[in-house]
Amino acid sequence: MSLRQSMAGLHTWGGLLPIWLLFVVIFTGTLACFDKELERWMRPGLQTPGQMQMNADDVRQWLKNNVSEELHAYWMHPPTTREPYWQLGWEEHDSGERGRKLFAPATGEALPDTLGGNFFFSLHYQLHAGTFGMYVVGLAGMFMLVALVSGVIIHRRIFKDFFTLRPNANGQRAWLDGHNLFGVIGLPFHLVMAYTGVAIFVASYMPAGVQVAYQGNPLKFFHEVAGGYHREELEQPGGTPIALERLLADARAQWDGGEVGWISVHHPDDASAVVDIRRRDPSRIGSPQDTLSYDAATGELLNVQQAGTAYRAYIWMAGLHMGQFGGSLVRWLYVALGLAGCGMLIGGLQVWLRKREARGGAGIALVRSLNVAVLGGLPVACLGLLWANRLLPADWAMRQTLEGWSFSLLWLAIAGWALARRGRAGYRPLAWLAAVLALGLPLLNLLLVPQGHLLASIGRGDWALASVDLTLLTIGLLCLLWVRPRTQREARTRLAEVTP
Amino acid sequence: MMLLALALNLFGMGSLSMAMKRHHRQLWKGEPGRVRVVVLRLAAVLVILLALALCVVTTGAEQGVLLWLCLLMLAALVQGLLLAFRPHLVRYAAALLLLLGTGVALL
Amino acid sequence: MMIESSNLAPRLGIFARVLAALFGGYALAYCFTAFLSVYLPLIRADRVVYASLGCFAVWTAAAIYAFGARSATRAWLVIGGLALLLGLAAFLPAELGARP
Repeated sequence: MSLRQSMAGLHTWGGLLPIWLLFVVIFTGTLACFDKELERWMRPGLQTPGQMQMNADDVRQWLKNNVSEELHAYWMHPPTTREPYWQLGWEEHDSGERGRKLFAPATGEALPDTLGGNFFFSLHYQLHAGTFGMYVVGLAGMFMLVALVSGVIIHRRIFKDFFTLRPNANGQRAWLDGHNLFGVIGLPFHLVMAYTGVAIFVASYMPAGVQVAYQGNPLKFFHEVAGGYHREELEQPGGTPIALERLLADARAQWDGGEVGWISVHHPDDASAVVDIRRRDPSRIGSPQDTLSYDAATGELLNVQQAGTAYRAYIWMAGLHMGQFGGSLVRWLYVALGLAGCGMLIGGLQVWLRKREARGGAGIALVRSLNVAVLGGLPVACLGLLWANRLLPADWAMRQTLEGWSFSLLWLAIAGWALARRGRAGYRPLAWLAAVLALGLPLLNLLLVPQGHLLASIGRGDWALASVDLTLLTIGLLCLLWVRPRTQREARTRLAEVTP
Repeated sequence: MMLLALALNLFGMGSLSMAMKRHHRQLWKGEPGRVRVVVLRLAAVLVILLALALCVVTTGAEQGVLLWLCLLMLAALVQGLLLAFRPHLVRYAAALLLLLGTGVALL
Repeated sequence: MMIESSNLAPRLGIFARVLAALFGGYALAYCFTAFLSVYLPLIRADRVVYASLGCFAVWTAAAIYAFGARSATRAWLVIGGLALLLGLAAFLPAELGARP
């Protein structure tokens, strides 16, 4: 067997096996480029006007008033342009349970819980399945790397066919052209995203270094590699903590006016409590590793972080993957290239199907069903989640859970329908559903969210928020364009199908 | 500024595609001669490097190179899709975008 | 549906290659990471970071080789052999890896 033949087999089957999982990862990753904008969209409480200017100590006061358990640590983040809210998180000392709350800085009110844009981010890197999900996604990433490399090896005319796309050629040829176009042109992006994606969790995926150099003690490695500060608990009650805002002011002065990012307080109730203040600088690809550590009671500066070059290289790779630097242009480009990645996967599936359609077989119906279930089901379920966010009352305690159920049940229903139809389900009904859901959301906003609908956000010049509605409208229109009858005859046939 | 960089990249990709027999035949009669191929490829390289310079000067080396690369990939995709679905627009697309980009950059 | 004897050998071969790619490849990446974490001329933390970041390229290359090699046996010998060599070199000198 020649190299090309063996690589072709590897590419076909090694590519097909994880392809639906890879679609979920790439699609949600594409959505997650704008997770913070979606987060804002899903929290209309942010649009309520107010005069307060909440500060770090206000946030700490809320935590003191509302969480009585002893805490292992808590962390908060000041409002930014893309995330105009205070973020608060905490971990309980004994149970290890974590909590999260967002606050509108203008009113100081805790915002109602919602799955938010963070839902798509979490789905992307761990499929909402914790550590196990993280490992599954990592393995899928490895399959993608192998598929990319094997794909390049088997591509015969990689330069000559660089721009080649013949939509009118016979089915398999046209789809292969498309698969190659999206794959080859986007190759730097696909390779870099896949590699940096798995590299982010390298400490979990590859424990060999820690094993041989740190006697298998990962904590020792983490403390050494980041050059941060760590102080053991003294098991004594702590004194009155100093005002956080004083520490923030000192930090900004140390950085010559630099921005403050994450603020974390470790073992806050103990005498050894430390406040870490991390710098924020979205103009670099790698986030700055300039953490200042203060004594929580006296405000004494205990440590300035000294991160080594290797760690900064790792942070750079992570930053490259997350695309949170620069402005929205980078994220829009990542979206375009991410969609190209999805196009590459869809093209590959079509090639696989058409090659085997003539022969038939059990696999074909299953692949078709899975295609409709995942390629059609996931986007529609995402739209469903946004609908649930709008329809479920904000003050329901179960709101987050119900949002999650809405997403899952809608996806399961579509998947069930696709599998029950045994390969005969088509995309048209889903495209219609997507069009209705996508076009309906901005309208729903007009009715339910007086400050946050499209006209209001454009009126305020809030283009980040408006872009969510505008994108929804575009998606809806594109779906309608796709399902429109192409000829008069087709129009008559389609009408006859639906009228009694 | 970024629009101009994208336009330059698109122009470059257009030039590269025209240096290929298959695509040259889509817009002009016959295949390009050897001289034309060299000129087209050279023009493409120059224009694409100009786009790189533009990106680096505007946003610094680190982000500039990255933005340029992403814009380059996008331009190649647009060029491929144009050649497949609207080949007659290829002549105008790059020129129009170039005009638009220059205009926006000067504003 | 019976697996015919003429089908068995190639199927076993493919199965062996899959195992070589998945598990042999990971083992090779593991030993490669350990090896570089010991022998790179850098401080300890930096050794571990660079060695670990490169491991995915090694696993990918091993997977490609597992299917490109002339036979499944050869794939296992090369991948396994390399892993063993790198692993021994990494773990035998007990204190070398832990040096700051």
